[in-house]
Amino acid sequence: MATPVSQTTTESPLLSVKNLQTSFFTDKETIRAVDRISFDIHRGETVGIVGESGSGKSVTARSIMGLVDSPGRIVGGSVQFSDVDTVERLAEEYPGQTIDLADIRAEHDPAALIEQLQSREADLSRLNGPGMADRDPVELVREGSVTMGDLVAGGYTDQLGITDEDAYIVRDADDGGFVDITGASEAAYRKIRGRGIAMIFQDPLTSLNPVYTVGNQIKEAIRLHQGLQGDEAHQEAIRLLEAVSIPDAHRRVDEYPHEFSGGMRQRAVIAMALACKPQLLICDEPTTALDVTIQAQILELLMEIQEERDLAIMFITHDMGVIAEIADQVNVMYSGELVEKAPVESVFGAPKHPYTQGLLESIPGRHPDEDRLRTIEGDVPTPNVKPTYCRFAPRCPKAFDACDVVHPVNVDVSEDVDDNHTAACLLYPEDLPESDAVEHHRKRGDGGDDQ
Amino acid sequence: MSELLQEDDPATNENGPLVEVNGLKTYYDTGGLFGSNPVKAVDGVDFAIDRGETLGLVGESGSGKTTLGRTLVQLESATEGEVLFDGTDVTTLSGSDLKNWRREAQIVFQDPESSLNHRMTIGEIIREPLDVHDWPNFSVAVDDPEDRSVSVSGDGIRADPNESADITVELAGAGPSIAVRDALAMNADSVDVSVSEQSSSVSVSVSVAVSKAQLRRAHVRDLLETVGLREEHYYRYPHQFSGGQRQRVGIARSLALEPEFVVLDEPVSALDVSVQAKILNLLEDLQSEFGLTYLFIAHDLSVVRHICDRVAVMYLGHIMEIGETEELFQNPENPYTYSLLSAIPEPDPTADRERVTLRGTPPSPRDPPSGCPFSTRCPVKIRPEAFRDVDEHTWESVETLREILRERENREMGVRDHAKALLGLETGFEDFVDVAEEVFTRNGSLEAEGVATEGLDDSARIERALDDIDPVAREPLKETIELVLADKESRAHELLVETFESDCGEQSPEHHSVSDSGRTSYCHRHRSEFDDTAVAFDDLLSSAE
Amino acid sequence: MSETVTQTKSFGERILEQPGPALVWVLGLLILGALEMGAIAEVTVAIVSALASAFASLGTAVLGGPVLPSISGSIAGGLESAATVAAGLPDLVSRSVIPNQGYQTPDGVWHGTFLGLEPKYAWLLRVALVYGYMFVFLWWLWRGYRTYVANYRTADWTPRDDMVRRLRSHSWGKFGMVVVICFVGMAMFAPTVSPSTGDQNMYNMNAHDIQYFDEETGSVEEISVLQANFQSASQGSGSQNVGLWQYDEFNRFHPFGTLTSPGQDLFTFMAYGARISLLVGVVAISIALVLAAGLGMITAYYKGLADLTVVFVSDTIQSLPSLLVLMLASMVFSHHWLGKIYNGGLLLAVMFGIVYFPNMWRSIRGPALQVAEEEWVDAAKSYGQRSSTTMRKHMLPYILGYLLIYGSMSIGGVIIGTAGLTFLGFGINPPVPEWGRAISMGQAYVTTPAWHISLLPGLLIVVVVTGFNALGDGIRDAMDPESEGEDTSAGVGATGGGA
Repeated sequence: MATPVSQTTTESPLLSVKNLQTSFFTDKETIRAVDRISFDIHRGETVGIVGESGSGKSVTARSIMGLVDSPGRIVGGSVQFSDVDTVERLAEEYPGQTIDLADIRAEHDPAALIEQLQSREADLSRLNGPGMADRDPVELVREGSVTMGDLVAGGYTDQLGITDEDAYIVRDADDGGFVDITGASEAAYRKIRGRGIAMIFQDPLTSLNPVYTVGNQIKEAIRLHQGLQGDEAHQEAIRLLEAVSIPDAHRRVDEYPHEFSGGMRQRAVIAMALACKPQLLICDEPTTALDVTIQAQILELLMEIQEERDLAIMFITHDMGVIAEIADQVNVMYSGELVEKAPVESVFGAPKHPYTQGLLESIPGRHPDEDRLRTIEGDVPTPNVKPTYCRFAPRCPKAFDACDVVHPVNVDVSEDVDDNHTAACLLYPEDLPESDAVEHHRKRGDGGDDQ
Repeated sequence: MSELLQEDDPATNENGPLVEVNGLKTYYDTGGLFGSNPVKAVDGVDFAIDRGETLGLVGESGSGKTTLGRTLVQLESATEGEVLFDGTDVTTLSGSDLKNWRREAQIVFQDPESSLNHRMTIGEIIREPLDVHDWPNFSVAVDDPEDRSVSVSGDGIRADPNESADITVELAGAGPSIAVRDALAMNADSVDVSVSEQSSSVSVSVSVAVSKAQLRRAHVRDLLETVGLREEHYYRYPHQFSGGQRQRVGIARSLALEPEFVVLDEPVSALDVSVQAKILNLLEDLQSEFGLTYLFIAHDLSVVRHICDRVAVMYLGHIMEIGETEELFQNPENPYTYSLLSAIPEPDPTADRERVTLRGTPPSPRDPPSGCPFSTRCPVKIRPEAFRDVDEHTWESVETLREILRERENREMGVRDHAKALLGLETGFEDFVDVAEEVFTRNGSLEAEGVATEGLDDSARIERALDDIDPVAREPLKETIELVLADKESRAHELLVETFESDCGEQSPEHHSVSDSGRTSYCHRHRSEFDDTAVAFDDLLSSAE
Repeated sequence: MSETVTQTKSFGERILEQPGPALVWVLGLLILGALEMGAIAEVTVAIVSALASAFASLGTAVLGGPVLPSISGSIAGGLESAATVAAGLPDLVSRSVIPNQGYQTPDGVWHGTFLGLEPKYAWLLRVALVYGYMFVFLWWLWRGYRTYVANYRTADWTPRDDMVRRLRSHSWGKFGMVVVICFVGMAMFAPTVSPSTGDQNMYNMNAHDIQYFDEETGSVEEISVLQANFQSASQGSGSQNVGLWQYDEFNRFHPFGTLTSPGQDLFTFMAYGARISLLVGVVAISIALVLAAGLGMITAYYKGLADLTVVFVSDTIQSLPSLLVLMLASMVFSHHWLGKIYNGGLLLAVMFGIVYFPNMWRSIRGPALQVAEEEWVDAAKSYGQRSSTTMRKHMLPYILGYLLIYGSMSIGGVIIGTAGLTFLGFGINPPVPEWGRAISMGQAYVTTPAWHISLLPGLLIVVVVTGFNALGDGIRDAMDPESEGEDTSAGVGATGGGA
């Protein structure tokens, strides 16, 4: 069940996706499958991503995992993974691509650097957090809300030539630093995948090799990521199968995937993922192919595992019911963009974006007294051009003229201070008159800031 | 939905259900070349569907709901039992009778990707059924005030009195007046009728100036519009459409022959929720427009709740519960219905329900359990007298152990296993002490309970593990484990069954009537000597807290 | 895209509405046809007479005597006069337009050739004209298809468009197609592209005379082709060899040289041989394909016992040593009427078809089973479509691609097989030319100046087989179901609306 996550604002996130952009290049067009989305995932938290088919939710997951297939590729943004263990492992392996913040702090003063940047007329908008747009950056540094880490993460030190552009591992003695996964090589990715971030797919059969026993495959993962061998690995595999509630694990460990039922296979895949001891588990529609009673089992299992291991989970689904069940935070995607972001209670209790509203309204049973279901007109468009308008406008019942010419950015729509609820719609901020709100979006949109 | 029936449709004036299913069984791989166990996909179901009604059919995969739907439209042949359609047993039809009947019952498939031939245009796809049945047949009804015997010649044939005729000729008055059915895109001027009247008979010769091909094309265009597509889609190919649009084409094709009964086999399962809503609205519109009778197969219960008048819940080839939708959803009487409803995730994070999560997976329909099909997973299975008061953990352990033994018994030892056993290597059957430990202890192992296992021999470990079990059950369980360790697995299984089995696993339940509206439920709990399902679940949930 | 409104018009009505492009195309086709009127008429007559004689010989075989001699006689008479008429019709690409056979007087002037050109240039010109005509004709057909798509087709897109587009961008496939077209052209226009005719060069050498300038007597002499050929046969030694691109002593030009005794022109031999290879290949593959497609669909549709029976039959056939069976059959039937049609060519084709079908059936069984599982097949059942129509409409289009691929890839094997059998002395009997026999004839001369006898046919077989395989590759890539799936998403995005 969803737990309130008020601590999220204080603790730094485990995974921070910033302006991530992934495009597919075909002969005919460029499809902006993921178009500048930003969100955070904290430890112990489940972040749900919902959207219809074609909204880009799976591509988001694959981008984080570095599994985007040609002709697609990540064209912008960063994915910062702040797991200390992963940072240390990679820093050891790739010292040439590591930035040690301690060194830079010793040599430079952030305020001085900012002045240097200002003299070069660099765009400093990436530094300013929400609500700080109009403040002087130097002042922000003085009061501590902008640090050297922010300068490095924003790429400003690269601009000044202090750090190497290729460096993507940032070590920080204070809060562990981060790895910008989008900069990692394939070899480095392999070190992050599994042990840092593991992924579960919709069809468990794609992750299981039919010619090896389930146990063999789990043992392989254990051998790779935990260094256990022989009987130790065997016992660990059985323990893991038991941990995912597979009865009679002693026998099951020697069976082949085809001897498992659908639900059991998904459990085995989860066991395999756990064998790597990941910090973040990405679940891409893991229960879509399963029956509802089995789905309930798997969801229960995931919640148990999360509690036991303080896992962060990114859960992708199109089923609003499942999201309500499992997620703490919800990101709603539409046509490659993140249109609404909020704690689960707010999304279901007070959805702000017309798309989210429409999506929820079309679920049967929302209005038991009505005979007809409410629908959203039209289809999800293919995001093949840079948006200078609202992509939902053609289907939006609340659209007005400005929707066709101004691209909305995510603005704060929280009803509660701790809510952290944003929506990308020109109707907001609600307290501003319409024209001012539009102007607000236009200005922020031009600045290139998506936050 | 019954108020939506069109009064002028002669067929609907009859009373009684449109479809009546009696003792229907559909088995796969019966006998065959290898004589193996057949898959009992549908294993004896009875129900009826009223005219203009939507009956929902829900269940998990492997419950036989799709096979049942396919049997109703004769895509599978029934092994036993009958399917009465308007009083005719359609399982016995063949040849042209079957072909003619097919016009009345159509099916919409789940996967809009697979149900349309990609190499045909939308127009060709929808038109094909019309071509097959040479639609329209120009059936002529002659309305003769003198009630003489009528013969029809020329382009037309004589209409079946039970069906609405394409052309109606009224003989009263000066000349014959001609009326053409709305579904045909021609007016009465295109029909030329010459009548020769005798004292006791009338012969009517009909010639139609419009070609059937033209009428079919026009009909397809009408259908496209009816399902919310546009005329110019006629010449497009399925690849040019989205999933929702393709499903509309599938629906248009099933309606082409103007059926009375449509089986909707998970028509919205492959669609996104916003598209799904549109298709569901369309299906409801069509039902009221054409007075259709639906069998709606789905696994999404919220959809079923929205669209169906009555619901049948299937499990392992049996209908577990069938009754009015709202009643069934609000007050499920069958433990399976209860568990199924409880498993649906509700799109409301604040909903705080007590959930029953079912254990395990449904057994194979090739080898269903004896007695009640749900007995292997039922959370509120009736316990034998002696164990009625044991704690939940003990009962759970017994059930898990049974499941393990059952599965081990069913498993065939492969060549590898035999070789391993010969060489004296571990086959997974020997380490049963570990299994017993895992099953009986509350925390999954003795170690987790802080018991030092070193130096303990097998029987001591079992002894310690059984500490967590209710004393009443300890002795038979210990005996069972010992039998397994002595390699007498089947004897162990038998012992376990003998000791812990109740009626649930021994006798098939009856379909008890559970409400005034005619709802029935297939469960032993409805017998007067046992607690009701709701009470049993309340007990279960309160004991879990 | 302008006419997105309702079209109830039939194909004919659509043409009447906008007759321009269709008229232009038909006119072009008529002109192209008129240029070849003679050949078309000749081929028609030949086919009719072949059918008549086949019918007569069948009658003879079955009834043991001539059937109604008077009728067949009158038919033969009619055909003869028809042939005469046909010969009188104009024919652009015939050898009589550009003759290449003549003699050279000492003053260097050529007599009897086209415009007094040297025979090799006359021959080259004629070959160029033939291939030019053929490619123009094919291009015109292609243009016809484009005209239809652009002006008269009601669908703005069909799945076939994507296949055509993919095939057009497939260079290896296009290379294969060109090779195959050249090969088919060579077979079709054998009488025209050859420097000599089949009748003169192979079948009836004695009945033809040629004129040449004899230097010894200093006058124009006549000699029978039989004798001339004997004297100009390649025997491997310097003086007794007519090699590549050479004239013999009777002023005849041999682009590929001559064969060993009786010394036919190798190019003519090859061109007429192409007809045999193509015929055997096409007939054999057609038999195999029809069997494979029919059985494949039946087994996929009905499964169970039907499947098992075919598995049993095909396994039995596959367990036989096919080469031995082929040799045995051509021996056993060599005196049977079946073995006499086309000097054993038909027999060989039938045998190859039977030997090849099990493999082909197995190859398409998978795809056929897959299609049979599609829901549209169930849908067809649900509204009572006949099983034969279901197979034809809903299954055949999906396995047709596989048939084309396996067909074009196996046809090379049949050509090699036929050549191999003929090389061994089985298969097709002389005087019908067959490439394998040329190779076998030249075998002894490989190391002599007469190396061309074996090498050229060998090379040609390699090129042709490669060409067919390349074409098969191209078709396979064009039909690739994976790229079809890719188009799905794009297609939806492009034309969605409504839903």
